[in-house]
Amino acid sequence: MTGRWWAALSAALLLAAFLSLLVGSANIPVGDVIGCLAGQGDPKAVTVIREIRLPRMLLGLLVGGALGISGAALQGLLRNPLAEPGLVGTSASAGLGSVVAIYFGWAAAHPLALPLAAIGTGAVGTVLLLLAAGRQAGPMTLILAGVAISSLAVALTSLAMNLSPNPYALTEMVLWLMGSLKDRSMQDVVLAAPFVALGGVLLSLTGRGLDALSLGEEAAASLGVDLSRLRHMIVIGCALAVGGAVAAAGAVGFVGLVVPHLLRPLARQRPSLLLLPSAMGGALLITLADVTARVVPSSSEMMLGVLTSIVGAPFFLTLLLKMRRSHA
Amino acid sequence: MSILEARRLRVRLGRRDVLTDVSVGITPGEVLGLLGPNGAGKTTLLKALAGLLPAEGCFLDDRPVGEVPARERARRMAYLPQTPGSHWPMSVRDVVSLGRLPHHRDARRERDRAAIDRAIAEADIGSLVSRPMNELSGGERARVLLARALAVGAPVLLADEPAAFLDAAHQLRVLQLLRRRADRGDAVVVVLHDLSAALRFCDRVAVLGGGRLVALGTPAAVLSDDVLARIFGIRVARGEREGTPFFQPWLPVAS
Repeated sequence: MTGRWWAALSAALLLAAFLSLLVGSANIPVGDVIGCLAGQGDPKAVTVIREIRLPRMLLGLLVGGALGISGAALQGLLRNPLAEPGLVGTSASAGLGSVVAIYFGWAAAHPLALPLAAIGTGAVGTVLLLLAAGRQAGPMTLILAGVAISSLAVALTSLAMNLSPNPYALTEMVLWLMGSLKDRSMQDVVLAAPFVALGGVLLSLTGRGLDALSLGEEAAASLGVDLSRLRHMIVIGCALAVGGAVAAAGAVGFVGLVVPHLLRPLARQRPSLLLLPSAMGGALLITLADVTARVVPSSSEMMLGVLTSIVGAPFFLTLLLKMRRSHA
Repeated sequence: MSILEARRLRVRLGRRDVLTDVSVGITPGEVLGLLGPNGAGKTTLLKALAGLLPAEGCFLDDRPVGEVPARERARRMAYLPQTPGSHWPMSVRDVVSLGRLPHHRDARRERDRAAIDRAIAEADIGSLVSRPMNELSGGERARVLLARALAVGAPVLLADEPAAFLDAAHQLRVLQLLRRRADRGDAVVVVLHDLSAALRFCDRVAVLGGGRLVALGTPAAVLSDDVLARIFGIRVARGEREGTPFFQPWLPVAS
């Protein structure tokens, strides 16, 4: 990306973050927002900004960044522009962990239970994916394996909901699976941040390997890239980042697909140059989607995951059609 | 002395012996051609030499290839596989620059740039540098990938059918280029299907058949009518131009 694009993306991200602090049911004037952040002004407004909107904004950035960079890394690893954490089963597996944690009441018993369960099952799902697909799997095999693992995770999630002990737990699970940033506290931010950050750092170190991999596995290996190490870093990185994100916000789909795809031309088609911009772009997209969810007039607030899916699924179809046409 | 050597190399893939008891060395300054019919094990031998297969019996400077650290191995041996292109439509220059990945990019950006420019000039792709890979023809892509391998700047070049997708003129240019690399002191191992090109451009050829080394020596000595008929199943028409012998596959041997 050229300097101008970096500047534009950074400015858009800052603006979106500010919008996220500004927009909500309580009407706080633009001029007061910064003051409230610093703890000055009307105590009620200070509480709204610092305890409701700030955590929501930070979580949006974290979740979006995690999904964006995971999508970019998975697309580079699988050499397929249709790959994303949702499609290869990582999100569904992490979602299963969250639901199980709610089902058994672990989530209520200990704040760390939910993120750890999400990360654990996310990692198990991704490892299963690589085992099912085999060491020398082509992109198509990996995606089929992802669909199989997604289906299994969704089936087990449905089973948990089916056997749900009480309607309250069921409602909680369903809302969880729709994905939202509503009613989150600073504690959620503190819980998710280390996992997302660690995963993000791991993924950001894979750029050179992913660049080499664009020439194929043999050429990459001949350039000194340790392919199994690269795969492990991406599996663990995605499990940490996506697990942390799903634990904080539930299932939010398609961000990992849309963002790297839109930014790829600006990154000169190079996987290494796509990782960081995808994190920023994902953060931007989630923040804007979350702001939109807040302002769309409806009886109950739009859920973030519903919104991203409604936009993302047609995008996925368009991309598929475009690929089919270019192969025809 | 051999810079790269297979000593009684055996490669098993799954339950099948793909290569058995293959011994061949390559010295700096020579072009070694790997010949053989389809499925003879040429590509497997090249990969084993490159350290891309778990195989015992390959040595780089007398050290087992598997024990040479990956980065160092990548700097010493450039490997050009048979692949159609790059998975993302990167620009030609970006693809060529991937050849510099094994080198530490600290204070030597100048050297990287020089190596990339030289590879682009050698492969004659100067007019393509800013084009995306997906807009190139098969032949142009093959030359870009060759330039990528040249950009590594390694003393050993292993190329798997580098002329396969090229028109006649570019085939000759690529073979001349490999010849020049060897004349400057590099060791070049090249898998070839074009036997008359092997006769002309290689210093030595190794003929594989059914996973074994059938013949090894100068092309003139090895590519006898008997070997051509027995291993490759062809009869050839021979001629001579400017003191250099050549032949043309003429008829398949009646089976």
